[in-house]
Amino acid sequence: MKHWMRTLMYVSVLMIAVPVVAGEGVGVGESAPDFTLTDTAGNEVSLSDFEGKTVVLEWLNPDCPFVKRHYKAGTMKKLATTYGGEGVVWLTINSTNYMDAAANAKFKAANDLPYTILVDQSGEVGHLYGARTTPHMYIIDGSGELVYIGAIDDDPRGGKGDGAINYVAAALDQALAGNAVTTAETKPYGCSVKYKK
Amino acid sequence: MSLRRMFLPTAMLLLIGWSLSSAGAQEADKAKVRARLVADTVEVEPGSTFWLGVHFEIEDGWHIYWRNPGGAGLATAIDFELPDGVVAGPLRWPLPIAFTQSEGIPGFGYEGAVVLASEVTVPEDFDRSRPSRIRAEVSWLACKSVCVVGSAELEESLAKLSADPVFRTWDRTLPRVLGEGIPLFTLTTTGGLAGGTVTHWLRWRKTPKLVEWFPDPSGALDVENVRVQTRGGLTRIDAAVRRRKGAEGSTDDLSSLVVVTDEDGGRIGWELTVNLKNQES
Repeated sequence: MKHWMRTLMYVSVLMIAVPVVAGEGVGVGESAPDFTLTDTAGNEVSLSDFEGKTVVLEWLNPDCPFVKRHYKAGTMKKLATTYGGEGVVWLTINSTNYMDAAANAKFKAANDLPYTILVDQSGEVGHLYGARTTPHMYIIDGSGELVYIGAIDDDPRGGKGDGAINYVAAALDQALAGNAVTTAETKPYGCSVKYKK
Repeated sequence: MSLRRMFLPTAMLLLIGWSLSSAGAQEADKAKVRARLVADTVEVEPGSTFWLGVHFEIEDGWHIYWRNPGGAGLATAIDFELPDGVVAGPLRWPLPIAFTQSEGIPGFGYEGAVVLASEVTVPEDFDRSRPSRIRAEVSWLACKSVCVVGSAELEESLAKLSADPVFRTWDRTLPRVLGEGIPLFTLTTTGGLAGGTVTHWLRWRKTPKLVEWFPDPSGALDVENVRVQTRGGLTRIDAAVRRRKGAEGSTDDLSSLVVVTDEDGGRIGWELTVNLKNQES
């Protein structure tokens, strides 16, 4: 009992002295914060340019083996093409500190990507959204609300083949049908985003 | 021939590294991790148990990952294929170290060298006269400024096992179960999922030099904003906890490791499990 009382006294003191700091990033159900970045051609692109549309944000680092595997398999390109036909906008953001517009343009050309790569060398937008891994996926519905945050699929080791569940495809299907996204959050996997120090 | 010889010179070893980077291509163009099969026994007797594992040697500056890699990364994996009736238990993970992977993204893993191993049970009716092979499929992610995925397929005959020296001190690197031996601290927990924060309170018998905490939540549980504070003989570990919306898996419990470092740099760790539903909020 005495031990408990002492503990509670420490609790009181410490809770006053050191409050827990809130984490950065965004959460499912929140409004997606607007941002403006430049694409590989130097054009400014803002999230608000796509008001009313469903938008997918993909965090990219072409040097990351997980990203390489998905690009070799065409995962992102197939999704962007398939759902692009239904009006979904695909924006890829590269927050890697050492990758400038030219490096991203080279990757876009080499992979013949039909979507925009936005350059975020400062990491400002990555930190704004709390992007931790490459890939790290976000889906914003037509009302501007985040409806999915997490991994691209349930196959971090890449061994499931056709049995893998693509969380982004599943979430887009539900969101486009006007339904709530069932699996709205998953733990992202991949390399850490190589932010500027 | 010495019984303590490394038994894998003749083992099949296949190392594959995929992913090179433009920035780190020169660094990543050769294997950063070497893996070999190790055991703690010479004779595999019917009805016996022995330890079978993989010894990872990691190049300076690189790391591989613990069972919870942290905010990014990938857990190291070993899949044993054993003769009929021979069963491997769960993988035992030595105490990890903590590192920062990139601005504010925590990582948990190993540098230098580590042995991950399972206790193997041999059935009573095991026929030693039959040729038997053991096989391990191993995969890891090694990172420095870039990451490289590696894998190895290791194979050996059960008859050629030898007692590897790495097991002489291996058990000292493993976490302890709370309640075993002389307790060095008492644990109290407050909070839970309902309040969004769980706090571990550890009152030490002797003031520790350094206390670290390694959460190992299920995929459905998000643990963030970890803060460890030690003042005198009391350590307070705060963590924000919440269920990921729609994610599969239990969030009833939170497993973790607490690791204390003494004045000589020695580390001791304990496995902790906290019920998040029944804690006071």
